[in-house]
Amino acid sequence: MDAVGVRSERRVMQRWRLALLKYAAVLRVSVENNLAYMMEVFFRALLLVVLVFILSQLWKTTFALHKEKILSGFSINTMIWYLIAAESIALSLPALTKRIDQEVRSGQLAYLLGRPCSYILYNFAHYLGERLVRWSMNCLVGAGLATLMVGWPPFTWQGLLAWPLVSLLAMSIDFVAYFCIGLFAFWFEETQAFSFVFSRLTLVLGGVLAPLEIFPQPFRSIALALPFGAILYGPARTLVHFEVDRFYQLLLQQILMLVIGGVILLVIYRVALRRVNINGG
Amino acid sequence: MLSVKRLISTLRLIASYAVANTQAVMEYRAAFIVQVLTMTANDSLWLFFWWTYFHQFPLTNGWQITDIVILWAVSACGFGISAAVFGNARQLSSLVMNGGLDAYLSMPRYSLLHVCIAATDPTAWGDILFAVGAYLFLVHPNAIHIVFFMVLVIMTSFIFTAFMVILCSLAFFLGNTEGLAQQMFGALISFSTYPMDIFHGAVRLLLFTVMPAGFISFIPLQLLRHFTWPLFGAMVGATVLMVLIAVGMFELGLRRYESGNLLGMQA
Amino acid sequence: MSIIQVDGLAKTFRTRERAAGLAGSLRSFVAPRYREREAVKHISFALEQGEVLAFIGPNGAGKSTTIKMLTGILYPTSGDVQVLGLVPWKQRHKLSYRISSVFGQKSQLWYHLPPQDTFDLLARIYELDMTAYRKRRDFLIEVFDIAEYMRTPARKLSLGERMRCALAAALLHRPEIIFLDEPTIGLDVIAKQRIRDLIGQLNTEEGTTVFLTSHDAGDVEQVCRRAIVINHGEIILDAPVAKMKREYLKVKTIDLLLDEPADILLKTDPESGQQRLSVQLPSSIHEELQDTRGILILKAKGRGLKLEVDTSYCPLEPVIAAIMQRCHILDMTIADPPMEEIIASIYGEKGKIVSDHEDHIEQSLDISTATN
Repeated sequence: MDAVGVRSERRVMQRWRLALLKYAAVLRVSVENNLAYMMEVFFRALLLVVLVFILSQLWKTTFALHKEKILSGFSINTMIWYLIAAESIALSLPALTKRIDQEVRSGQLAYLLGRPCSYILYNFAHYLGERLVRWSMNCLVGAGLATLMVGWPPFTWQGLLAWPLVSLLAMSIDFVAYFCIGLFAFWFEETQAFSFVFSRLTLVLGGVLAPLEIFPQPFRSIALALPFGAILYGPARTLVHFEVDRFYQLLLQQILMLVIGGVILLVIYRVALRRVNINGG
Repeated sequence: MLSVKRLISTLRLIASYAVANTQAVMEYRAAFIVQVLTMTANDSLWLFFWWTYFHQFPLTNGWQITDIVILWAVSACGFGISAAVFGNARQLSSLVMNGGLDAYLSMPRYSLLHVCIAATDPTAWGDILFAVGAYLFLVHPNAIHIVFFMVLVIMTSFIFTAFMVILCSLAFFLGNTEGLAQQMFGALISFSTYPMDIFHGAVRLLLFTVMPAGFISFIPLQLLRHFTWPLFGAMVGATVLMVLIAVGMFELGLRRYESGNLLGMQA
Repeated sequence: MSIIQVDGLAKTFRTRERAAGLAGSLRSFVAPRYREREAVKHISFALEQGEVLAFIGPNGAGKSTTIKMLTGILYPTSGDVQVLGLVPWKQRHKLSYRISSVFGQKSQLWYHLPPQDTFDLLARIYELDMTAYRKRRDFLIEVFDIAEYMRTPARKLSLGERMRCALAAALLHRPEIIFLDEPTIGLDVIAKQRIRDLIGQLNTEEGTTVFLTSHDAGDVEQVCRRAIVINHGEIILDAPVAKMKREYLKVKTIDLLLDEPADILLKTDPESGQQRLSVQLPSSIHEELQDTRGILILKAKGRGLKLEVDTSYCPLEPVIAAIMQRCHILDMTIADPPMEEIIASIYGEKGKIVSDHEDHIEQSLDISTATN
């Protein structure tokens, strides 16, 4: 009995390990693929330069006009770095919804389900590969730009350590959202519109133009409560203005969003699968 | 060559395509409405941001919220018309790459125009709707203002289209430039929705030359606030120049295309 | 006056060689190396009004390049072309009103529009008189039997339906010549037949000259009266289709699945040791045939039997009938030899002449590039 128990446990461990390897492989291939398109990734990063430049001009002017050095706790230096951080995440978004939409519509989904691979996890690995490459390039280019413009970053080592973690969580939240929207292809003709709305809401309410402090109450509280803030504002602020309790708050918010989003995702996924099983994709 | 009859025939063609294309996208009624509404919502969201900004930081040089509204309205409306009427312009680079341009070349009409009007972007109507709505309700313009607005918006749409054509024509020479074209065009739109006052020196020069964001929204704003003939002349001149450059680049690229010696192209 | 006149038409593509790596890119930027590809090598032919010409050849033979030069989309390296008395690449605009081209599967134009709108747009594009256009349109809709699809967006139609609509659209402005690039590719047998019938009808009733490129021997056999075979950029055959059929298309392959081992139909020739088909053919056919010499065994394995029948010796039906008398046929496929084989056999026969010709051309090329 004992030996069997041990063996079955080992089998479970073995299975987990194999599964992890499987998705790690997908991730690796995705990263390699995207690294091959280095030029395109670089051009995207240039857009970051343009946008941050514009915003920096706006804020520089604002700061100068109002003769303030600090705006809601942000100096011009930290403001620029904040913008870079937020845009780095925002502009690294791949066209996930479009991909899922196409796979659903073309019937490829039904075909992919036949593979011994979780459709969700497979896509997550694929998405993450692309997103990480873009995000890294954005961070690099952005950092260069910011150093040129306002000099050395105001980071603390805690902020630097926390940055990848909260960014990863933010990207995961994004994944859950856009994947769900992609699955809407089962019921709606057009999913691009929804993903577009979500991305815009993320940008404006997530604080890519300015930290959420700019919003007057009651908008500020609303914005802080919504998931969009956890995707852009939270991580960017953590990097630039690390505060321990805010960090824990953010982690909690992100994990909560992930859990809720994950549940919604699974429910929609289940329903969608049933549709596939009945209609054959 | 350029006779009135030709002009009317061309205008009629553009109109026919616009009607046919719009009908085609309206087939998917629900999707169309959603797309229009989301674009309107998107634009409104940005305007909302600006409202909160101005709430806290009123900018100098007499910039008021109405100025931002006009800036946005002209830019969005110009873009909307460009994407609605000449919505297929963005496809030019892929048509060059996959040889789809041939089909247009074998037909009697001027190929560049034909390519541009062959399809429409339904979300553009959201921009137009927003622009017109915001302009009428937030600015309270008088009749002359409105007429002038329409004239300026048409010119802006030509600048947008010309810029897209120039970017896509790079495909004749540099191969797959779709990513670059998208980013540059996005940059143009971005630049045109911010008040010019925040830009200085070299950048400002850039915005009136290589990336004509200044002519898209800023100059029209100035003209609508206070009309002067020289400024209007500059606006017209810039529009005509952009169109000429676009046509020129396309023709140049077409020569190359017709020789079949495009980079990486197999006959 | 020929409606199409081609003299010494040639096209060489010059592309810059792209080197890999940074050093290579720099090198190719400073001192670029060009790669030349002769797509069309000095071809000449003439087409009269009302002819139906098949322009055939394998992939990369130069078919598309030639058509593009005839329609003015591509300009040649050398040679003269006159279509309807006009030089295509110089007077493309003028020419476009009088010709029409349909590019098989690549015709992605108006994918999002229903044929109804496409037709109306074309009326505007070709500046047709609206009343005349409407009559013409209704006529074509009837002939092509597409009335029920007129309001369906093109992307929702099947390939065959789309092809019919595309063809009808191409005829709205009554072109004098119609260029068809692979019109039946990807279609099923019935759809192919329909398209072929329509093309034939068009030519007979309206006298439209048809210039057709194809991969499909069936297109050639049924629709066209003259065939030009092109390979490696050169014309290797220019003859009436009847003649081509007589000499080159006479062989058909039959792939059979029987309900008994194929061996029962075979006997071994004591002299040559080769296997032969042993069936009882009607005595009305030549005496030699009792020996079934015109029939070659390509493959005999288990219950599968593949034969190559020389139809100039022996028609197919008696062979099949005779086999059926001996055993049941579970499955049967009759195929034309693939175009490549026909080309190869033509090339093989004419090969010697052409390769001499080729050396001659290469010599003259060396001279011309030396002087450039």
